[in-house]
Amino acid sequence: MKKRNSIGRSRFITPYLYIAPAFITLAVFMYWPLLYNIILSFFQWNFISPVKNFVGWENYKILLSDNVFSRALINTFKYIIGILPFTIIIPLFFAHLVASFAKSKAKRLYETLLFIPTAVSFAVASFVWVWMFNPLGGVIDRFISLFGSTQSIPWLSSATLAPIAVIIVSGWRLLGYYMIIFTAALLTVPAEYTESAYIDGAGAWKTFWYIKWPLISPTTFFVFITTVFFASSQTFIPIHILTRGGPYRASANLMYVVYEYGFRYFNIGLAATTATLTFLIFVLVTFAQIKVSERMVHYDL
Amino acid sequence: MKKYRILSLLTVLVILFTFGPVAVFAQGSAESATGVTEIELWHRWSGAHQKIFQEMVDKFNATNESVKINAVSIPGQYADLLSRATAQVAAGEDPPAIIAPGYYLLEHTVNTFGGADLAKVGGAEAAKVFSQFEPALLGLGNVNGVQYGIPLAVSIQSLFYNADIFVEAGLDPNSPPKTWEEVIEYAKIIKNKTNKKALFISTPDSWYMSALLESNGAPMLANGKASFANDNGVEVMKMWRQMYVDGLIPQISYAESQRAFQAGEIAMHGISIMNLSAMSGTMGDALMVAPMPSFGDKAKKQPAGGAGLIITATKAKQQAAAWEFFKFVGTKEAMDIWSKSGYVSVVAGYAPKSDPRQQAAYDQLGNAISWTNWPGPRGLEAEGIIQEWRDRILAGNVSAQEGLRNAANSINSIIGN
Repeated sequence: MKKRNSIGRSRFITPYLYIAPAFITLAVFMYWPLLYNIILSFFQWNFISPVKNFVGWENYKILLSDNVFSRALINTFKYIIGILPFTIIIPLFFAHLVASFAKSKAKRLYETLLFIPTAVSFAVASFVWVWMFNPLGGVIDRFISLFGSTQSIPWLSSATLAPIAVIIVSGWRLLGYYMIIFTAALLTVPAEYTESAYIDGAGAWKTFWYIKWPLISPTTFFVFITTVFFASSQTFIPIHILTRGGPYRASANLMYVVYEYGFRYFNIGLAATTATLTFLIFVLVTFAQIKVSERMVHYDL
Repeated sequence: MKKYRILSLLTVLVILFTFGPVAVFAQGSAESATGVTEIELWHRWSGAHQKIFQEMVDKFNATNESVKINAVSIPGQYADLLSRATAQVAAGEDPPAIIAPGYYLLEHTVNTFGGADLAKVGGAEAAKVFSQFEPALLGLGNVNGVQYGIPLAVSIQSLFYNADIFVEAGLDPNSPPKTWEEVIEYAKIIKNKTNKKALFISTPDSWYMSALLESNGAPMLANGKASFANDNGVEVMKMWRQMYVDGLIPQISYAESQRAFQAGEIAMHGISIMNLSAMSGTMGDALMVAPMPSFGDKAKKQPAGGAGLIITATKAKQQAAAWEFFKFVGTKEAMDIWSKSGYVSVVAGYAPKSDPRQQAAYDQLGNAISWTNWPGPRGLEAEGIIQEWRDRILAGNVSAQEGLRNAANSINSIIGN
């Protein structure tokens, strides 16, 4: 009887022990920081003071009435839309070309060449681009002047161009990585499908549009999701190095505003509030993505 | 049962992995066993400045048997330096014993880290040590009537110019412009006679702008309110904007302007004297330095830039060790080394001038005022607000009047809160 009880207890505990390592790690590094962040959003605090002043919804009122947050939100979506061509359309184009000569040695060469920017540290790449963007004697300026232009382009000091510069640097670095992913995906499409399509008279474009792309839609969905999160978080590095969020916050995204409030102004309450609102917005975006994926993503392969 | 044991072990390991580092961090640092008090000093200087600062620290360490200063460079802006210190304290560790915040962050640093009152730390010798420093510069370390800091790095707004471009434009390099009206005159000549850009005025923060506004009668802070949005302030910003419209100032960022100036693409650069050592390295004798131009015959008021030293250690032994270093900073020996950085000497009546071009800075020290410490827990946001509206004005996004008014209103709505 005792033995049976022991076995029963063991069976009861075992599943929890299986889950425990993952749960403890997630709880400590994910759920508790998330919860604590939400709690901090109701306080005014400088990170160090033993006294945290409870301010209720005040931080939320400040953020929602101030256009700093709304502009950063718009910029975040600008980055998502701007970077998507560099992570889906252009990599897919290159991947299609590379996959079309899969058995050639040139495939490896082109993959390597296009992948090199991804291997470069994002910070280092950003510093190199700062030099290239310089309107007075930068590489781009000199290149344009070869065509007779005397007008320099203020890439980093124009409110219109600064976000574009961030998109270019981010896209340049990501392109190779996503090309590899799409190449791998395209090579999994069974040759019978495309051969059948060719026999039925479909051209290269129709074969790609109606056969290949739908079949690699899970990959496209993965790329789309990772791009959304990249554009909202990882662009912090080029923003910080290229523009520092300027001019007049034209290139600051939500993560940069969190950094500014938290580590430039030491206002942890407003930083936590920005982070909380960002979290809520991206929860909604993720739900929307999942809903869209249910209709448009096929897992037939 | 074996599986049960393995899972238990795994769980314990995960807990150790998770909380182990916290336990290690909580132990703090150990006292030196040799009787030498070792303390850390955090600063933001990198490159040539870091080397010169380290040379000064090495000199102190070599001549002092009981104290050893470990200088730690946290490259970046002054806010980045405080971010690191804040993160260290938030993680449960002690702050560095000495920290070198920018003058505009002194009040925040004292309020956050609790700086030591130097009059108490120095005791009987405090007054004598204070007298080693230039009185006007010593005041930069005074927060609300208490001497929390000593001046270390003092910079002042200057006008750097390229002598070669002046000659190319037919201008005399030995007669630099003295007023902003003359700057515009010179700039137009340079624009017309060379294919170079005429001018850039520093924009990484509100420091140079503050000097312009204050010098034309638009005080940054008066009676607890942002007061720069008056007619004098508007006049300054209109002039600055017009220089962009006239093509005298190129539309580039501050970082780009530094490179372009050193590459000989820009003739004049309103910039800090602290750039002297770095820029003379690339420009040689072509680099010349003049005082910041004035507005007609109005007296200039120039917020001193740079950083002071504050004792953030709480233990008496560490504070005493830091004080020994502060005494050294106030000596000619220390300034002979430190002034090579481009920063001016802080020792009373002593101007070593490792580079004769530093004279332009010494000539202006009498105009030095404190860089505004915006009050209140949200005071630091004022810096970002000023920069945003300044950039909008300079880009022609808003009028000078509207931009300054909006900046002042925004600041007044947050300071004191």
